Amino acid sequence: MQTAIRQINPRKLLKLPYNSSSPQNYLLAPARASHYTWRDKPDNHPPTMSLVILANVCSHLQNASKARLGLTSVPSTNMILTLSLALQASGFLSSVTRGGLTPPPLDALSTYVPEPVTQENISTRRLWLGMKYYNNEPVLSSMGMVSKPTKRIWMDVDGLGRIVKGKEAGFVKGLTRPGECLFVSTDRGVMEARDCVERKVGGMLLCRVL
Amino acid sequence: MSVSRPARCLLSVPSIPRLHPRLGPRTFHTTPKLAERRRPRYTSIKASDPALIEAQRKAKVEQARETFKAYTAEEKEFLAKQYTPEQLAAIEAGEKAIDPVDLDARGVIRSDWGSLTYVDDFATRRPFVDKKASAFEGPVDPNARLMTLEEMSLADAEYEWNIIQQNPQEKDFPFDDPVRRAEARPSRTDLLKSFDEVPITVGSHGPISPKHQSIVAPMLPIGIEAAVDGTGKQVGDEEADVRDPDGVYDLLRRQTGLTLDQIFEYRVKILVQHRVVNQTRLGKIQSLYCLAICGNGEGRLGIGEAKGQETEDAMKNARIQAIKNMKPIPRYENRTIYGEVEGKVSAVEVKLMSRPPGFGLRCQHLIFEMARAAGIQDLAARVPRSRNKMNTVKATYQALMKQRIPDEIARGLGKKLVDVRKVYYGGRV
Repeated sequence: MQTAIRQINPRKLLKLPYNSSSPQNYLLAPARASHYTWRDKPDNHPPTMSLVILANVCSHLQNASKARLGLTSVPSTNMILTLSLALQASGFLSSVTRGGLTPPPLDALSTYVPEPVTQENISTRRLWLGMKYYNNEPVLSSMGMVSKPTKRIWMDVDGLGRIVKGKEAGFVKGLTRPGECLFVSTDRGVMEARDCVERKVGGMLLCRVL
Repeated sequence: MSVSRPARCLLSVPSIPRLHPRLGPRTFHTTPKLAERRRPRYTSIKASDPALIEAQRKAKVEQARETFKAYTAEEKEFLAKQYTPEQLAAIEAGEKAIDPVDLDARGVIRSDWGSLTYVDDFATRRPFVDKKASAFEGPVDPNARLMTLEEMSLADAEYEWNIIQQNPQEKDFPFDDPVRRAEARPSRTDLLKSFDEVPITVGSHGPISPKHQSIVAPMLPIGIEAAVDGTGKQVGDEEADVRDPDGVYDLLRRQTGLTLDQIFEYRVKILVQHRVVNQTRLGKIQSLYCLAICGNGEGRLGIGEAKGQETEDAMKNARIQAIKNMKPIPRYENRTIYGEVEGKVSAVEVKLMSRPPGFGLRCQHLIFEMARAAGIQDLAARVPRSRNKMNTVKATYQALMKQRIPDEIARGLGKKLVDVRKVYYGGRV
């Protein structure tokens, strides 16, 4: 039985060629065909990896704030990187740096040039995020998921507009607290909900930050 | 059988009266029983005995005279050789002023535990043994301020000039000679002395010498210690006010400096009131719990809690505590709160929501009262879980204090923030 399964090739079952170069088969494309990007996807969405890592990052940043850490690290993935940059643009983080398992030099966080990502070091890459504090309070005090790994929520501009105005839209609570932000994964990258409304783009709701 | 007692015949009557412990019914209070045998504090003296007391007193006087003898004529003669007549008169007056009996009773060298290990009459202060005398005890000048740099340098110059005037030096003083240099005035010692003597503060009547000034808190208002410990003089009206004949607010007025007018202007209300019971081994002890709120209608709010046997006492104390605990709460446009806030005390969760002008206070009665006292006009609230009255009030207070101010958030984020309402209405909201 075991040997039988091993002999069955899934590609043969799906009747797909081994070296597929057609965009429709990007999911099963072999690793070396790396010239496919998410732009080749029919709906132009970035590759939506599991949200579990994002959920862990949310909890981790909350914990780091409560522990008053100055610098903390999260896994380095494209989604986390774009989200971190959006958080920095919104003022929740002081710095975003890609580094290894040890933190980059603290005195040169902004000028630090990270070593290029290669196949050898990609598994050890981490994003080092600088946390912010003001008036003895963390600037980023709570961060929670809106989409869940088992239930993703997409929203159009109208819905986002309602949320930004503080109203409820599609079971998503509005941004009613002062300073509250909602981050949305769109085809133009991860953006804040207010920016999305301004640029008239919708997307997947990632997390809300306070 | 005890060894110390001799054996007695069983039939003989004991010569020592048997000890009968006076055991009555047990009382549940600490007051001594009236029926108990009284033991007078002093040995009782019969009316015929005063002579005995008089004799004792006379013996004391004699003993004192024996110890502290008056000057004899010879001794006085000898003294007259040593002292002037005025000094002699002073000595005699002193002798007459001090009663030898007193001297005998008081003028003894102490040997008790509190006594010192050395002989001292405390007439002089010895800097290494004695504690430093307190700098100043009188009233504090409210207008006192630190000198400016020019004034300080002037005071220093004046101090030095006085020293130079008092210690004239020859014109060609050899300052280069290290031995003679030490003799030059003002010297190093003068400099050290100047720290204690040159004033650095100015009051209403000119510079204040450091000797007459509280180093701890030079700007402290007059009589604040007396007001705090409650023993001092009453601030404000001396006689009782008609509105407060029992002096309920006297201590509060002294402690806070509030006037009765201000106190009566506050919106004080008792929101929660219920009996609580303490179970002791003597039974249940009931008392009344009160929770009062106090607001000035202009953004200050306080909560006061008190317990007491008497209803009136508990209510009074709760009100006073509420007045004392008043703190400013942030208000948006002096009418509502900033955004949405949540408070949680025990199982009570309170969610307060800001609302547009004219919305009113659409919330339950406890939150309504608090908002009215604090001067909030537009507010919505939800109490989704438990609705315990006491915890609802506490959670509401917590939520009101927890508000995040947009300006501070903007500074934390490093963003520029503009209130659109103010921009749109040209600052007329």
